[in-house]
Amino acid sequence: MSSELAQIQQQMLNAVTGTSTAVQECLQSGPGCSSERGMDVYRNNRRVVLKSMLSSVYRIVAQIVGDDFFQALIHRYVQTQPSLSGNLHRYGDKLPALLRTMPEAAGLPYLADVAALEWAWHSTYYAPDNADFDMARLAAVAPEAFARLGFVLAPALQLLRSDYPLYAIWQRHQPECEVEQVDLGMGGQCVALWRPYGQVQIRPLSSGEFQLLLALQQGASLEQAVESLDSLTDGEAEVDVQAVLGWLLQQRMLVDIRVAV
Amino acid sequence: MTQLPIAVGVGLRGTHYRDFLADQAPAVPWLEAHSENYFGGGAALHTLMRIRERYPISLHGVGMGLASADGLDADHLRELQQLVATVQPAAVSEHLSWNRSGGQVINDLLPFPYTAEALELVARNVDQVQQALGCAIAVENLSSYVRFRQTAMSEAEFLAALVERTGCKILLDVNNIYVNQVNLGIDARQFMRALPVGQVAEIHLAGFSTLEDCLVDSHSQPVCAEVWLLYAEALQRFGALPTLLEWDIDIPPLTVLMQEADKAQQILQQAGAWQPMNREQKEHGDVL
Repeated sequence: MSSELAQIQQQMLNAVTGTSTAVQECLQSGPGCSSERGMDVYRNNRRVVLKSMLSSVYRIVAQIVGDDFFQALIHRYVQTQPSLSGNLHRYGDKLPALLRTMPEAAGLPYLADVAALEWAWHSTYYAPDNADFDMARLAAVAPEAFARLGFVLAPALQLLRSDYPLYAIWQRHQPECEVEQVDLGMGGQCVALWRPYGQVQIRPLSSGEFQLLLALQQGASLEQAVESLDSLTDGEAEVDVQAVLGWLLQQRMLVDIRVAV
Repeated sequence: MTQLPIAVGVGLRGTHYRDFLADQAPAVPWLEAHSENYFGGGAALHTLMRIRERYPISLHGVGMGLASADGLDADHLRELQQLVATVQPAAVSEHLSWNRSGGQVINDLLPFPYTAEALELVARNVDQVQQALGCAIAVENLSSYVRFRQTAMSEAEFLAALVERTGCKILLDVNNIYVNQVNLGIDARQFMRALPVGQVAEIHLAGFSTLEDCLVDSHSQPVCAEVWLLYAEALQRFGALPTLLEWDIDIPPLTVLMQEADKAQQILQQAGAWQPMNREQKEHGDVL
């Protein structure tokens, strides 16, 4: 059973997010602000707050498409995507998906991947901190158990794969960049984002490094992760596994280890 | 929990991080940080922890939605709990508003009818927050742009009843009651008279913008003359209290913010000797 308060809140939410006027029956106008004007203030607040959030996250997308397109894009997003959290920083995760379905964006096939990179950057920035891993625990693992070793990686680590040169596009849009043009024909790139000491870091990965890290992040044992490289072509599957593990340790991305029985 | 100094603090905004971390720490007695900006971890929280070494911090939530009929968002409460445990702030506050219905959120401070049913619900939610945090929170009155036919008591009466039910404190936003006076016709002075003396823990000051006849609580301007008057009256009634100057849009350089805070500090110092009115005075009529 829905309470009177719950009903009023549902009606007000419908009025703020859409065009419903049912809530007006519950409202009284004040001397300086009619109830219609009052609801306009809330509707406008919502649009301004959500759009400014999207603008702060998707800066490169905005640079690529220009202001008119970007304003239309975030307007559509705000009209169709509800916020689901009282923490505003969670809003905007579905913009890459929206771009993939928009005919107007079809001429920029890499745009959705750029948006995904920007969302990953934002998520890495706000990801929880993780404690330092005690290296003695790794030293205590028996050599014969190493293949069965699984890792819990830092929540801030994000791995992306694109059919386009995502890292080069990202570099092109950094303030200090002098490169004029990215050759889209140079092929796909994989990217890692992480946060070793507060600041977000980014680097390109080879397909093999990406596959290895992705498998480990998803819970595979070291042996399973190395086996998963078999799905790649010979050239791509060449990975210096030790170097990747060393990088994880040095960049504080190892949170926990476990040995599968 | 330590207490906020009885002095005028300012809102901590990203544009002023550098100022607060400079070799010469700006002379600000305390800072208020918006809790949600520091959920999770990383640079934002790291910066807040460095600033915290220099200044007492108050954590001010804008996303809990204490009056949401659907109840509190457990994730949100857990994140706040974690932040409070990490920062160990001098004070924690939230707004008397709702933000969530049917799984959707409006990231704003939305009003609701002040009824017995709502009091029951908000008291339950405040209890839940205070239990999770292990401390009393201060609940702030709202700037509203609509009012409801169903309302059975004033917002001030509602807050007074909430204090009695939950042991929470009141964060009195003087600008909000002025905005509501102009927009909705409430009486700002009557509002203050309805609040229990001794239960107001903090005062907020800010500036509004105008949209034709309507005042919008945008925190984008200096404090207006009428609000300065109300502030002095509030101090006379509730005693000298920690006060915050808020500025959220078109944020000026810190020096401008500090000049505005100085004006408040002068009024607060004049009130320094005042004690909250005692119960006898209250029962024999108000001086306001």
